[in-house]
Formats: sequence, structure tokens, C-alpha cells
Amino acid sequence: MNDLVEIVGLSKAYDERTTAINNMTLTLPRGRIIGLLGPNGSGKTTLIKMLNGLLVPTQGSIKINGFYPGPETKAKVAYLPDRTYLNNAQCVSELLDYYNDFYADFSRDRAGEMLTGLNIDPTSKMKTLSKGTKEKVQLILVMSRSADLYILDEPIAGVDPAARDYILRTIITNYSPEATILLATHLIGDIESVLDEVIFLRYGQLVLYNSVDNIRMQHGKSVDAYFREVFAC
Amino acid sequence: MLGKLVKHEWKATYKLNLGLIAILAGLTILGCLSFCTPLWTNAFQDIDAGFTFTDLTGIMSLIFYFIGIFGVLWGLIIYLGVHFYRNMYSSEGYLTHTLPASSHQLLISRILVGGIWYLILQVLIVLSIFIVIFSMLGIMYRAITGEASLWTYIMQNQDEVMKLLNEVFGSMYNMDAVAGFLYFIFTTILGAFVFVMTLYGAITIGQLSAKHKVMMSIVSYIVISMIKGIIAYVVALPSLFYVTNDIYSGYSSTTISLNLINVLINLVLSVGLYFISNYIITRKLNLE
Repeated sequence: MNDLVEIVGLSKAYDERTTAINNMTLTLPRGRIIGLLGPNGSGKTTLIKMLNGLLVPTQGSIKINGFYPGPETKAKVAYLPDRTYLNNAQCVSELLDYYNDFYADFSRDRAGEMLTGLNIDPTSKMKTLSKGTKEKVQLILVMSRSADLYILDEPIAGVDPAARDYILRTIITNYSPEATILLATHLIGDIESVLDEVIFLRYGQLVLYNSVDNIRMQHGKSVDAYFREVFAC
Repeated sequence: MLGKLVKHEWKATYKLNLGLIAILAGLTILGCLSFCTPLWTNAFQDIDAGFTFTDLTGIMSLIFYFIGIFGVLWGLIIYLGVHFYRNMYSSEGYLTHTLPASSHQLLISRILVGGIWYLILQVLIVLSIFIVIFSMLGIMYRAITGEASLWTYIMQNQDEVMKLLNEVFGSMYNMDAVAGFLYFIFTTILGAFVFVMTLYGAITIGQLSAKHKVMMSIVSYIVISMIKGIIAYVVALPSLFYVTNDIYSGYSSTTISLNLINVLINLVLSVGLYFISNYIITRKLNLE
């Protein structure tokens, strides 16, 4: 069971005209940071939702650690959605309690250290925090888990460049070598340095799955530049 | 896992519900005070002393009490609905549905906590109305008999009170006081959970609409209530004819059988709604 994620013949159609993912087959190994890249409407979020058990495939299957998406996979997948999803009425420490109660792999100490590092007061209510700080709290909660798979949907989209550096540092320093990070973003230039592999999606189909080094060697350009070439309008 | 879900659902809802209980306590005091104006004592003693500003305040307080009671109940219903929607189907749903819990555990925890709060508020509202009525009866008793305490009278005449209760429950359920009270408790508990399931089921069905989820939820609730009403009416029709034929002896037993049928209809529809909700969550849900 070396592979972490097995996707076989996966399709998702919202209706007869809208096919978000079309017959995708893909295997993701352990211990990689993988960029999930594609233009708007390419099916990134649909794929992420299916990996998290938030959407049911129309056809095909997904297995994570050998399990179909469900309570067993959710216990080992740490997901950061592309929005603020925490209860605004709660304070940060209550959220730590929440994660600590539900996720056996959550480390309160690690979360505490990261909060201290960012000068975030655990007694602060979420509603009193700025958008960027909320995103940092969300990332801290997710990265304080010792998950097998981290799925981060646009983790750096809404924050300033200084915070981006911090977030990327947090991601790199807080995951175990056995875990895989799947990172969806439009800001390829900012994350390219941390990626091992990239997945290109277009119209719900897999265009490319290759290592960053191979792309650089084969095409003689950065992933960002190659992405712009492949998806040129 | 279910225990943890229930614990956190309770933690997330207790503050506002305690606020509602505090408002209810305040309203109950206001309701009791509204009978302290001379109007009531004079009325019970058949004295025409005119209508003063204090009397008007008392009447207004009583009206405010009853409006407030409805406000508390509707406040709870709206809060439970909004909390369930936010927690399950808005952005908070991204966390809820990625917890390592099954859809059954998620649903049961919400129904359990929502049902318990609805039950607590219902019981407290009945208790509040009872306290207000009792305070009114106390004033009436003092005005008519000149004795100090209605409570002392009740304690001294427990047999008569039990006989009265037996008659009341007898006419309602064709049972003695204890059996009738237990039946009342059972239907109240069941009713609370049935109501919450209907509310949550309607909100969940509303998620099938792509653009008008709230409107679809409200329409679903109305349709479910209509279906319940129609089934209850159709089932009750033959019994109603029976009542007309033999009104006195038939009424009590008809009431209880109609009541039981109603309970059964609600139970079956709630179980159906539960499984529909679970199906929607597991197969049809697409969080925005």
C-alpha cells in the first residue's frame, strides 16, 4: 500500500451539460508536495471536494489509504478549504479544543507554538480577527495535524506577501515526510519553489502529471512559465 | 464520536438558549406581576372601582407576556433552523462534513440536541403559563375567600385536587391522572423530536435547490406540514362519524385513538424525513 491516493475512471457531472471531472485516472504517492494547477473551471475544487467526501462521483472511484472517502479517510485527511469555514462566534482556544476532540492526530502543543509565533492571542474571538489572521488560524489548525494527506485549496490567495512566506514555511516544516500535500492555487510563481510535482487540469481532464524537475529539464522553463504556455488564452 | 458531536453541539447552542430561558423567566415575573393590580382583586370581589392607569399597565403587561411567550418559542425555532443551516450547509459545513464522523452521527447529534432544547423550552413555557395562572388563581382565591394561600389549601385537600386532575385527564385521554400524565409526557417528548426532525428535514430538502435554498426549505416545511395534516384528516374521518353518533361515551376513546394515530403518522414521517435527509447529505449535497 505504497500509493496514498488511487483515482480510477473518476467523473463528476453536475447535470447533462456540465461535466466537471471527466474520466480521470491518477495515483498520488506518499511524501510529496504536489501542486494542483489549472485555470478557473478546470475541476480543481470538484476534485478536492470528492477527495474530501464532500461530493459523490458520478462514475469511478477514489481510495485514500485503501478506503473510499468516509470517516476513515477523514480521520487522515487534513483539509483547508478556500474560504473562512470556522464558527465566528468561537474563540481560537475553543477551536483548538474542537480539533483536539475530533482529530486524534491533532497536536495542541504544535498549534500553540505556531499561534505564539504569529502573536495570535488564543482568547481572541474569530470575529474580531482580520481576514488574513483568520486564514492563518485555519492553516495552523490544519497543519497541526499529523495527517497522511493535506489538501490545501488556495492557502495563500487572500494574504499579504509576508504572510505568504510564513504560510509556505509552515507548510514545509509541519508535515511528515510520509505525508503528501496537495496544494491548489493560481499563484504558481509563489509556490513553485516548494513543489515536488504538479498536476495540470483542463476542462476536468488530466493534462499533465509530472515532477517539477522533469518539467524544467524537458521544457527548459519554470512551471509558472510552462503553465502560461499550456493554458495560453 | 456521537458523544463528542453532542457535546460540541450543546456547547455551540447553550448560550443563546440560556438567554431565551432568562427572557422567559423575566416574562413569567412580569406575567405574575400583571395580576397584582387592583383590577383583578376588584373584579373577583365584584367591586366597580373604575379603570386606572395601573390597571392598564397590568393588562398591557399580560398582553406583553403572551406575545413574549410566542416570541421566545419562535426565537428558538428560528435559532435552531439558522444554526442547523449554518452548521451543516453554509461554509461551516466544510468543517462539519470533514469530521471523521458518519452522516448518521452528524444528523443524530443535531436532532438530539435540537430536540432536547425544544423540549426544555416547551416544558418551561408550560411551567411559566402554569405559574402565571396559579398566581392569578391565588389572587382570585384570596379575593373571594380572604384566606392567605391557595397552596396551603391545595396541600390540605390533595384528594380533591387529584380527583379534579383525574377528571381533567380522564376527559382528555380516557385515563387516570398518572397514566394520562405519563402519556402526555411521552407525546410531548416525541413531539419535540418530531418537530425538530421536520424542521431539519425541510432545511435539508431545501439544499436540493441550486439557487433558492432558503425559499425551498420554507416551501418544503409547508408541504410536509400539509401532508401530515391531510393524512391525519383522512385517517380521522371515520372516527369523526363515530363521535357524532355517540358523543359522550365515544369522545374520550376517540380522542386517544386519534391522538395515537397522529403520533404514529408523525413518527413514520419523521423516520422517512430522517432517511431522506441522510440520503441528501451523503449523495446529493454540494456545499457552495
